[in-house]
Amino acid sequence: MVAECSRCGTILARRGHDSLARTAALSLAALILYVPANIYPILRMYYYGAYTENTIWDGCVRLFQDEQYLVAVIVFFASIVIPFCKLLGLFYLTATAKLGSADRRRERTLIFKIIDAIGPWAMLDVFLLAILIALVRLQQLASVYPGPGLLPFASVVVLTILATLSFDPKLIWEPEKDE
Amino acid sequence: MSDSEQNAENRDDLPKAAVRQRHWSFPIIWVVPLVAAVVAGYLVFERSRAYGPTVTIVFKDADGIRAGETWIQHLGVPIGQVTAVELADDLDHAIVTARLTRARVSVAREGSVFWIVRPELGLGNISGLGTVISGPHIEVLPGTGPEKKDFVGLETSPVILERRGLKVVLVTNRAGSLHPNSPVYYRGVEVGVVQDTQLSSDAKVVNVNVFIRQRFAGLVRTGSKFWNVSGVDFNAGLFRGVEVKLESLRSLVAGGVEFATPDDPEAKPARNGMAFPLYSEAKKEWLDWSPRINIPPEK
Repeated sequence: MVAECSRCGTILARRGHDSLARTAALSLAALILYVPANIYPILRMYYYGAYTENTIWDGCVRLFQDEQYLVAVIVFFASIVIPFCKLLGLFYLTATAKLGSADRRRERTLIFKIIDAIGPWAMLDVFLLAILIALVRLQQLASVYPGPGLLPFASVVVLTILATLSFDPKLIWEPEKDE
Repeated sequence: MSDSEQNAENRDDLPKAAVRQRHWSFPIIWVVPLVAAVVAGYLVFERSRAYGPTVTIVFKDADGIRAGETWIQHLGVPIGQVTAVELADDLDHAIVTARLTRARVSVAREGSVFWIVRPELGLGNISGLGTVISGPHIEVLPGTGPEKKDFVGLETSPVILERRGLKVVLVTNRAGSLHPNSPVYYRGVEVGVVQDTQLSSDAKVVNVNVFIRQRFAGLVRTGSKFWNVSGVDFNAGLFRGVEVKLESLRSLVAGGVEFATPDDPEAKPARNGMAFPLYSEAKKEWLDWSPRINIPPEK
């Protein structure tokens, strides 16, 4: 929906009418990539000649076994639960906005604000890995390499952020369809 | 008239902005999930394709084998990873579970042998040095039989990694310095190894199992003579002086067997499992035998 000046045609206001479609599409893409992000190792490590591959889940399990419960829980939530919850939240928001529902508008706005706020934090893993990979290069003794799962993982995070950005929170407050 | 009043008055005169609905827009954004689906589908397919069969191997001792870290290798190529190490119910064995990567030809078949490669310091050979720091790995020698999932691992690495060759048994009174890995020579060239030395079932003689590489298998014929070249042969005589015979430095410490084949066109090539006597030394004429035997070129 575009409002133009009737005389000169300048665009005065623009309402992305495809905002919902955009959000839905990007969220869907993120959800699809969520699968390879979790089954592929995001980290490959050579340590004194031994070679290990770690998926995010492996990392959580290993941390838990090493009795680093707090870190294990943080990693589990930050890397597995929260990205998924964010996607679920976005789907919920787009679905209700599409249906023009008038229920729980305040709560929905709050959900959107939360999703928007924690967006970049999900990138923490990727930043951490980037630093780790740059630091640990002791040639034969120990090296850390990105695994094939890192790219889909980063894509999930970026797509989620883009989906959040393209969601127009005003749509939550649209008048009900049947009014 | 204040400004605001004038504004209010003029508002209706102002031209209205034209609101234009875009009637048709290509939903180009849906290309993104489509591409994602293709990429993810491919990745998942690749991942599931990489999963091969799961095998269990029973070892007497699984020291150093770790789930998620120890690899199964063949010719230095990783082809599987250990997923679990457990104790058997009889508390006498360790059960190693490993997932193999999918390959066109699986090693999960009858006749495959698995053993744990650890650093070994033997007479005349050192092996597995790389595993000192990396920890042991499991090596496999693929078999050719039908599919199989449960294996019993070897205690020690098999002496020879080749799958094809000639196996003969040498019968002797004393094993002497012969033991697994002792070389077998033909005209001084190493053509095989001693696999193991075992007492015969009635303990009267020693059976020395010898492996001759496939390429040299034709050198052994029914009339071949084997003799021991272990150690040093001292021969001192009043008129001859001192004579020292030594096959090679390695055979000095590791022992060794040499054989010769007579020039007899009637003699048939030896078959697997054939027994030969092992002499303590060569007769003079054996050393002069030099039959013409074709050896296939090295692959």
